[in-house]
Amino acid sequence: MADGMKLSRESLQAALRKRGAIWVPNDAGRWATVEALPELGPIRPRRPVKDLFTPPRREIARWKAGAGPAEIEPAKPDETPGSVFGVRPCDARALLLLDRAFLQAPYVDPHYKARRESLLLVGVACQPGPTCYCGVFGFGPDDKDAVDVMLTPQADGFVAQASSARGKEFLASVAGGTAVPLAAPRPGPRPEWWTGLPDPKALYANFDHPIWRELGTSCMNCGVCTQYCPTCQCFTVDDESFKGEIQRLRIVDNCQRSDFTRMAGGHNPRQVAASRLRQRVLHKFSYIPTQNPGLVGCTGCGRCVELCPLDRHLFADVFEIMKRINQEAERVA
Amino acid sequence: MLRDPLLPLAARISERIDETADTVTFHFELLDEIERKAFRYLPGQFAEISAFGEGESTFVIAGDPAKPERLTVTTKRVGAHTEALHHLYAGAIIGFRGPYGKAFPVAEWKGKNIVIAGGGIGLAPLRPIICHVLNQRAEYGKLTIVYGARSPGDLMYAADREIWAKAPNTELVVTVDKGDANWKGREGFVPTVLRATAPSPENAVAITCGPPIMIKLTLPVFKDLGFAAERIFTTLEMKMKCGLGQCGRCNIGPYYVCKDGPVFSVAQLQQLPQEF
Ligand SMILES: Cc1cc2nc3c(=O)[nH]c(=O)nc-3n(C[C@H](O)[C@H](O)[C@H](O)COP(=O)(O)OP(=O)(O)OC[C@H]3O[C@@H](n4cnc5c(N)ncnc54)[C@H](O)[C@@H]3O)c2cc1C
Ligand code: SF4
Ligand code: SF4
Ligand code: FES
Repeated sequence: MADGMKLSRESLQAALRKRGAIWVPNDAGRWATVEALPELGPIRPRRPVKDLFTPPRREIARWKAGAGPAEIEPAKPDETPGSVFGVRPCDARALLLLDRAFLQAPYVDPHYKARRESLLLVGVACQPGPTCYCGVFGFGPDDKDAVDVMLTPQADGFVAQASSARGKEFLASVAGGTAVPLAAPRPGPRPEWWTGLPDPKALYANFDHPIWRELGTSCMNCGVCTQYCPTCQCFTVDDESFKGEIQRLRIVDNCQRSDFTRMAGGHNPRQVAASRLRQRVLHKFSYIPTQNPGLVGCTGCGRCVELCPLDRHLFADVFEIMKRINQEAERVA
Repeated sequence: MLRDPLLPLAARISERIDETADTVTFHFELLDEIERKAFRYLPGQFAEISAFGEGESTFVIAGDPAKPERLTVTTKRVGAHTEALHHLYAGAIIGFRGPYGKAFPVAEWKGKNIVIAGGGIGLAPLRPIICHVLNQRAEYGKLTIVYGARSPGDLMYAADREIWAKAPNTELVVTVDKGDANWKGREGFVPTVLRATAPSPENAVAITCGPPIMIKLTLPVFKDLGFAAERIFTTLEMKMKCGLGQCGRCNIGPYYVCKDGPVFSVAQLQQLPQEF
């Protein structure tokens, strides 16, 4: 069994402060900088860590009204070095999906890239809650694959483990660590009735299945599920004027909104709620896995399950869809 | 330093042509000399254009790809941003980013006869193909263009049509749904006129763009004429915002139309969910 390193809270904090800004989830569940490491809750905070990398609202450029865009002033990527303390495995893994969207040549988002390069990800193992489903995706609350350093909280500090070159380098900078054995990683939670991930092709082949319409009638398209999802990447581009200045903004958007795909003249390929619910499920469980074998567009954080005002349960829905599809396939066979 | 792909370049409108009551063509050039000299695009590729402060929207680059310093878009007024664009005249500065998307495979079409069926503003994405074929006239076979609009006043590209009508080994058939007192040309919908024109499918490719209803009725005509689905091409219209495959807007099936399209063969479209 590999060794971990036992660190005191004080020496970890000192090393993080030396590195730069320390981002943590604050009491409201948003990401903020602090001087001292806080006590964390048991699981992921309200807002996913993606907010630091692809923020809900960011400036692309600004210019003075009337001055003409020749004097356009691009927003500067934030390269301030620092670290993020308290990243949970589900949110960290979601960044791997966002990397695929925003770091893929030829269209690399320099703002996203700067943050990915300047912020060290310090994960903290969780005490899984009632809507935690990372086990569905084959990892668990101790998963270190997508962070730089993984910490397991102890009564008097942390046991740390590096999982990247820069994580290793960082741990070497922490004073007074002692080698200790690591506990075996715990399996992630999942619903007891869960039988496995759906086959992306089977889902796609059932694009016209009546089940979408049945499920779609119990969705009000508020979009909370996408707004809080750590993997959702959609945005819109808009100009806003404010006190004589015009800003071009990149603002988070969500595919559950009825006019997300509404085109000028009124044509809308996803006119009804059911077609938008289908889009969300298929994008996560069929299109992304088809385009990127090995990846799924969901990491099981369970926020959408927790926050849906109408009590829709993504995993129960996916399970139900596959059950219906499989039953019918059997009947035909 | 890495440039934000969402950041537009400034361009100056050099010429404005009011094509119809609601459609304007802008010719423009990039202000930055290095960018202007390096810029290249292929027929079918599109760009994001902005009337600064009013938004941004997607237009196909409707110019002659052999003259990439003079860029062109033809814009129909349908909403807030296109309305703002139509208030701009020669000399005004607009935002430009592109080119984006997969082009028509014109290189693969060398040696073939080219049949084009366009309706209304759908001629815009077809114009670069026509320019390209006429630039390299010896490389391609016969060019047939069937172009229709609702009324004589809705026909665009008057100057181009004069050139095309006289071009070697080229047949231009213009039709309107309903003529007026002065109209001496053909009347009838594009699919009907295409059927009557009956271009041969032999060693030929077909390209069609136009309003959805026109495309819907034109595809069966090409099929009846004997064109295989692999040899009929069109552009798919989905709402777009980024053009980069990032904003998620144009996703359909496992594709992003802005990256994997907008040009598709009919054979490819048949594989997609009917969600457009
Ligand atoms: C690949 C492609 C090529 C196009 N080429 C042309 C062209 O050459 N000439 C032309 O006149 N029109 C073209 N369009 C359609 C054009 O983009 C829309 O008509 C335009 O964005 C409408 O903007 P608006 O603000 O006036 O309308 P609004 O209805 O106010 O639209 C608001 C915003 O929604 C988006 N939007 C609305 N409709 C569309 C749409 N159909 N496609 C994409 N985004 C949309 C735009 O971002 C727009 O700014 C093309 C669309 C696509 C996808
Ligand atoms: S889903 Fe898993 S990784 Fe995410 S907070 Fe819950 S236990 Fe932690
Ligand atoms: S779809 Fe739901 S469970 Fe999956 S990552 Fe998004 S918010 Fe979390
Ligand atoms: S337009 Fe943004 S992903 Fe295609």
